[in-house]
Amino acid sequence: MLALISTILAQLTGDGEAGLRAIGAGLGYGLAAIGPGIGIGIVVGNAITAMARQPESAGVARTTMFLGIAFTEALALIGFVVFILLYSA
Amino acid sequence: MAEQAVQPAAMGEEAPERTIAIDMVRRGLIGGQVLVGVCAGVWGFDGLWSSGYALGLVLVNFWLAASFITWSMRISPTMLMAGVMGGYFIRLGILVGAYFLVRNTGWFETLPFVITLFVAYSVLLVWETRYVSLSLAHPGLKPQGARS
Repeated sequence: MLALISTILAQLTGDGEAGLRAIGAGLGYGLAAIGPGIGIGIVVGNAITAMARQPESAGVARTTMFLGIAFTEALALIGFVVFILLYSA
Repeated sequence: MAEQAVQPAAMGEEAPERTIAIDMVRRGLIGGQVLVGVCAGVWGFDGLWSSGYALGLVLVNFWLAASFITWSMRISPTMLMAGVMGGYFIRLGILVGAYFLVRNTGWFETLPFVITLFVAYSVLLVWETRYVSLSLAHPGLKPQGARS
């Protein structure tokens, strides 16, 4: 499948290496976004549980949730940085 | 039942994530100048614009994240899940779109853009976490100026 896409991209761009690089960058960014997506789901799910169990501490739960989301997203940002470096190489 | 119990407490005070995001933007605008200055020193005017552009993206990213949470929390905790996940994809899309918008312009330099993006995000996050952890552990020591 990858070979087929690579061949198509190579035909389009006229450069096989550029095609492979584009595939690698896209795959890398896509894979890097999956982990944070799962992590954010876990963080928000647990924050909702905490707020439902203890409504009086909703402020603390939201604060922790926001920072947790931001930390989890740092992984996606690393994927984005790798994507740019691969794509622009 | 759970939603009814959460709603009043969540809406009673100012949204904490918005307060954190505003604090991060304020710190980013102050501390980010050092990073932009270093990039300008190494890469010249191209580094200055690229680094400033990346810093702006990071700050907008934090502000948008908080806005999505605040907006969805006003509707319901159930909407929070959709709001956060939708916001995540939208913000990733904005980052990619912002990169493709400028990548072929004459002033864009990849390295200062990437360095500023990663360093500004990480440093701001660690800085804010340290501040919030201290405030939560010792609320009495929280600076007066940070209360709003």
